[in-house]
Amino acid sequence: MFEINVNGIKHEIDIEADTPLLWVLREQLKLTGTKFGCGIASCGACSILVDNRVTRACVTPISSAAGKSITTIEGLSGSRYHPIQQAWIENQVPQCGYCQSGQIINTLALLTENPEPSNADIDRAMQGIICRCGTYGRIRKAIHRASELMMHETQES
Amino acid sequence: MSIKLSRRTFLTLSLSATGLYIGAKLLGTKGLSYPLIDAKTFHANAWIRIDKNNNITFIIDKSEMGQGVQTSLAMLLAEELEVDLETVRTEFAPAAPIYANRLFQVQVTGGSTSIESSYDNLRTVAAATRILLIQAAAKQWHVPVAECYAKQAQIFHDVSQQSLYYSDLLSQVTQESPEIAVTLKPSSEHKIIGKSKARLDIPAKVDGSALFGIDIMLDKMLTATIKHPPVFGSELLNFDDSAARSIRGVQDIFSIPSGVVVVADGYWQAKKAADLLRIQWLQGNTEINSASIQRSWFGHSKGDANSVESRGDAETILDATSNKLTAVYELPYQAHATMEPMNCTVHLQPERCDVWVGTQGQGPSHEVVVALTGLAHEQVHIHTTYLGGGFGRRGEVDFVAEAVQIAQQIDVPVKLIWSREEDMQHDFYRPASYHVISGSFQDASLQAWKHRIVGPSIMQRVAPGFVPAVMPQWLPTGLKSFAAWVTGGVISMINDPTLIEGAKELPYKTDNLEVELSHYDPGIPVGFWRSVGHSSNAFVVESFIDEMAHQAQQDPYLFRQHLLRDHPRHLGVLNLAAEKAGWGSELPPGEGRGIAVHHSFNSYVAQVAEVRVIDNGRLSVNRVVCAIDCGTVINPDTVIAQVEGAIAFGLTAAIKSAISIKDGHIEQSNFHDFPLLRIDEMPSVEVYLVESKQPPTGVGEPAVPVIAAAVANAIFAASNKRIRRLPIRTEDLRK
Repeated sequence: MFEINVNGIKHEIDIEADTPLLWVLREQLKLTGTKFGCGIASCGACSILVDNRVTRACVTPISSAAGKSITTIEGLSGSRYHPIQQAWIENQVPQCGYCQSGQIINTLALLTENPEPSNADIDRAMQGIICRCGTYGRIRKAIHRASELMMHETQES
Repeated sequence: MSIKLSRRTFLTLSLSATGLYIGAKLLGTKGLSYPLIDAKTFHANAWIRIDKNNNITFIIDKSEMGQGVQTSLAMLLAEELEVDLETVRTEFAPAAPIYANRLFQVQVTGGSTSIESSYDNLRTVAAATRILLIQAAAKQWHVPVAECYAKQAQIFHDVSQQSLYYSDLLSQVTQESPEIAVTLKPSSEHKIIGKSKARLDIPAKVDGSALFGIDIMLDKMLTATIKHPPVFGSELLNFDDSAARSIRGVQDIFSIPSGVVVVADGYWQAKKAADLLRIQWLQGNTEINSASIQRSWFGHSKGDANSVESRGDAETILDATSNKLTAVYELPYQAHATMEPMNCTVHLQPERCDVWVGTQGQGPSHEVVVALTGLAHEQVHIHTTYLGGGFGRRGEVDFVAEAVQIAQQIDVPVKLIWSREEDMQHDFYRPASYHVISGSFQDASLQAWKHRIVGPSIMQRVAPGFVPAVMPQWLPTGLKSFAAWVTGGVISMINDPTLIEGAKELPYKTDNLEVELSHYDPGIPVGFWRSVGHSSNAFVVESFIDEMAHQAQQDPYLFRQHLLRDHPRHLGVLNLAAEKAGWGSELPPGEGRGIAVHHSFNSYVAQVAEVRVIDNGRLSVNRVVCAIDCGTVINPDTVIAQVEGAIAFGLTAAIKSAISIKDGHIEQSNFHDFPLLRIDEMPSVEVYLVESKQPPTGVGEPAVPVIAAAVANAIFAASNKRIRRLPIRTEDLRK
């Protein structure tokens, strides 16, 4: 039995210790926004935050996340009004959309650490998340826009 | 290809508990006739549904795989129905004959035809609906029809200051005569078409709520995964599942014709168990290797071939000339590598089968389920989800067939998920091909051009009648008409159009042209990969014309311009791209600019790429300027996004990935050895749309084929290295 906190809610999960968090989230908790792409931490579609650090859920066994706090795409805002989501909509980023949860979660981690990233910073931070549709140009624009929106928010509060 | 529509339309209407269903029988469609609405056989027979609260739902009969079709088809309907796009709901269509792609006559999303095949049809349906509602209102108010108009889902009569919601008129509409004449709005009156509209699917794609096939969760559902034989053509001898069965959560292990299946409570358990299976295969051909394929290519490039385009006497002229240029080009197999691995969910019951799948082929999927279950078409329900990438892979139904075969062995709903490794190694690959090409340029004209293509045929697998012996018995009948569309009506063993498209119709002016084809199939499954034959042939043609320009010591842009003088739309995009890129302006040392232009899917695309080549062989593609002429544009921002994405897709194949074969199996298995373009490798892309009143043409594919040549030509400009094989390798760039 493993206790994890997902998007602020505690869950007790009875499953084999080596089960990757990805499948716990998707199949046990029905949080399907986190995607399966490769199973070897190579594409980033399964990115989540574990204690605020970007983690590839497809290779992270639940045993290593016991007692920790997990944020998935579903926990980002509860609406679509998080600045990153707004910037994504404004720039019409997604095409097929399959990788975008991973892109957004990685953006959240990037902007938390580096509120005003350069293009080079973005390339470094986002290099691990594949988008087969090729939305990279729009991702760059949307990250700059989200950065603006978030700094604006910080100033207001 | 276009189908002329009569503006006269028969509408059949029926009022059901949930509102008005409107379908259309379009007349004068050259042998196409839509079945009249029959509420007993289809749950939603058409494209528009209006409920009693005036909620308007559009049925989208193409698959949304990122190309924005959910929005652009809704735009076509909203424009003529006079409703705000932002207020409509959309649903994906079930499988039904009325939703057949009008160009293929089978329900398939592909070939960059969604807009081209829907543009007149959907606008006509919506306009007819609007007219009927206006007529009904006029009748109720006893006023002339001409004084009434539709706006924002209401009918207005200004003189009497009356208005009615569409929903208020539903019962009256059904009493009207079904025959009406429809006139479509001129483009000058378009309020929605031609304006960039926010895509309807995007909000759900930023919060994780968009439902893909892999996200389907049903009560009591189990999850399956499959192990296919690594070597193509192998047969199962036996398997030992004792270790696999010890995994907690495993429910069953059995074989189906294509492999061994593990069914478990969840994917992880199934995958873990599958990896413990000890399977013995009766191996297929283990002698196939990339190197042996290359040797065979060489042989076929010398032997007999079929002439697919011949005028003048290219052979004699090339033999006689002293300034003939000849080159050999090679392209590898390519995987689709959609981010969402193949998957399909099936709930099979005695009298009913429900299938949830991200598919580009509802028609073929429907047929395969009917054939495997023996159920009637009406008992099989295909539910289309969002597609996590398609690129042609999801037009295949292999994984749908497997999911049904698995469901037939267990009593509960089942979701089949392929691992990434299975997805990579059991694709239908873009054919590898080998090209020998010669030309001569003299006295300001292209004297002769000869191009021989060696490669495996897609249509031999897809089209019944090609080689019936190897066709699965469930091959969808609809594919026959699809094949006929691809082949221009003549299904021929000899000249597969998917191998010669983009080479056969050379736009450069010459009196002596010879294009030849030699089929060579080493047995690796091949299929439709975004832009199909164009993806290879444009690279070859556009690189070689560049070689000829340099040999003639002419500017590659002006050289093309001169030889394309009879092709205004080619010239339109060529000139626009060159101008916007600042063709001819200085670049820093080590950088170069390359240009390419190509016509495919009835659209025209030119690109200028700027690259930097470093002596040790490092390449960066810095900037791509692209011009596209795709006729009338429905949603400009979507066209721009598709072009950006197409450039990334083509660039991946140009500089990153390839599929190779070793001992009969695919060597690559995941993204570590089949690398895809990453954000740090993405050039800045500028897209320019040519304004046009021509009918709309393809958008999703036409920008793919151009980029490899534009980049290769830029590399030559930067470094004097001529790239003749893809993907571009470091050793080909090193000084």
